[in-house]
Amino acid sequence: MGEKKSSKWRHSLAEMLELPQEIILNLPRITLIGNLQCYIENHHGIIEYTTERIRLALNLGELIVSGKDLTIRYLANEEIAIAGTIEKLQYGS
Amino acid sequence: MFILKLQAFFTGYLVIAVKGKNTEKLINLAMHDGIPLWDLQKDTDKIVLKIDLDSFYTLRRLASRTGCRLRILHKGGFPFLYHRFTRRRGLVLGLCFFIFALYCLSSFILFVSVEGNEVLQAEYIRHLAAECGAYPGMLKQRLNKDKVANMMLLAEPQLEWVGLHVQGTRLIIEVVEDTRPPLEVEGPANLVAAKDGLITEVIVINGEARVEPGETVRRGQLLVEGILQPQYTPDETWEPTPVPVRARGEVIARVWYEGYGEATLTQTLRQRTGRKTSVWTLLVDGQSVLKVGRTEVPFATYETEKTAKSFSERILRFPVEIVTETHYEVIENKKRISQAQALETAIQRAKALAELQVPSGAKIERRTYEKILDEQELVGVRYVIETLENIAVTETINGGEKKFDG
Repeated sequence: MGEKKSSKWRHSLAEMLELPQEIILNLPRITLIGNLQCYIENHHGIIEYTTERIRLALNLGELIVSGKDLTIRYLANEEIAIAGTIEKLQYGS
Repeated sequence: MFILKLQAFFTGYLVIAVKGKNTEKLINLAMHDGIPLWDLQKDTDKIVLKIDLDSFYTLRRLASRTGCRLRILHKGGFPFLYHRFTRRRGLVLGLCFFIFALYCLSSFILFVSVEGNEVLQAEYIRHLAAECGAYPGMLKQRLNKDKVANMMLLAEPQLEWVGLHVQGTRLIIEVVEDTRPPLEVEGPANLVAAKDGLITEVIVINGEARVEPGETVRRGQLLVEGILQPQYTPDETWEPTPVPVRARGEVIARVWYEGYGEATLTQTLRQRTGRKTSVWTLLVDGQSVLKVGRTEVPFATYETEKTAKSFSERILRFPVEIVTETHYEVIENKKRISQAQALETAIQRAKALAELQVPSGAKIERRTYEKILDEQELVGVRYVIETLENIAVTETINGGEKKFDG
């Protein structure tokens, strides 16, 4: 209950001060360039990696990137750049 | 990302294959340790990835913990390239030699080409240039373009202009030939007086003299008419008609040049006391922007010197200028000079004015001066220079431009 209350409070703070929500709420920021590249900030690691599917751990569960010939162009702490033919982005739990 | 790859190239990187069951786990561990990985590619049973040279040992430790096996597929980047070069000294030496040879050979002039010639042969101009010091095989540094161009101009009167410029190893000689038509020396003409004078001598080569020695002539007066009377008369009834010719000759005359100067017996000498003030003005595009210094001059009598300094105009035209105005305090000393001294000063002034008018070729016969003004405080002098010179100028009969003849 307390967790939920604090999240609400943060949300209104972010709204009020016009701060980036992903920083205040600790959410991932996903940038998609066409279907060629996907850039995800603030993730928590790779759960599964195949050429058709990449599963990433997020703060709010899981992100599944599906496509063809997926490669990881760059991987650093909390940052990942996925390239290939992206077909689907899906939040899992 | 690009910066990271560039940095990786300089520090060196490895392409490695990761095999095992927990490859994802290894990657996550590496990620949390802050090891940057890039270009990860999944194969059927392995992941190929690139990693920093320095981070490899950390990764190897992590791999042994997760039970993954690492295999280095390729070593890339500058350190490995350097290492390979140190093993292949001959190649590096050859490369250095090649660059050095290229540099050396390009510092010579190997070809000479000629542009702009129409009448003169290119081969001839090349030969001329070689004699003046621009030949194939010479060092570029040794080439003195201005000197060669001047020498070529002096050596060949048909050349109006010569320009040399070097393009790579090629020296290009650009020439402009004299294409003007030869000077017009034909057509009937008279000789007229260029200035007032007293004729002392008339030498006629062609034409008929219209003045005699001892006569005074005014400027523009006809001296020698450009006609020729036919000597041959077949009979009495035949009316001789003069033939127009081009008059040639010299008419020597005495010409006087006058100058007037005066001097007062009291002279004021302005002397700087050594005290001065300066005002600096910063001009931008002709408008004064900033003024530094005292604008009021604290001296009763002063002289002002103005100097403008603009920023290096040779490199870039910059519309900024600094104008320095310096005011020097002066004191005026009144000094009495003797009559003789004043006269001398007046003569010097008059003489300077008279000499200014004398043309350079004239032969000076006599110099005289007379005091024409002699008052209590003032002396005035007229200075006369008498010269003997040729005052004849050619004037074409059908009206053309005047040209000095002889």
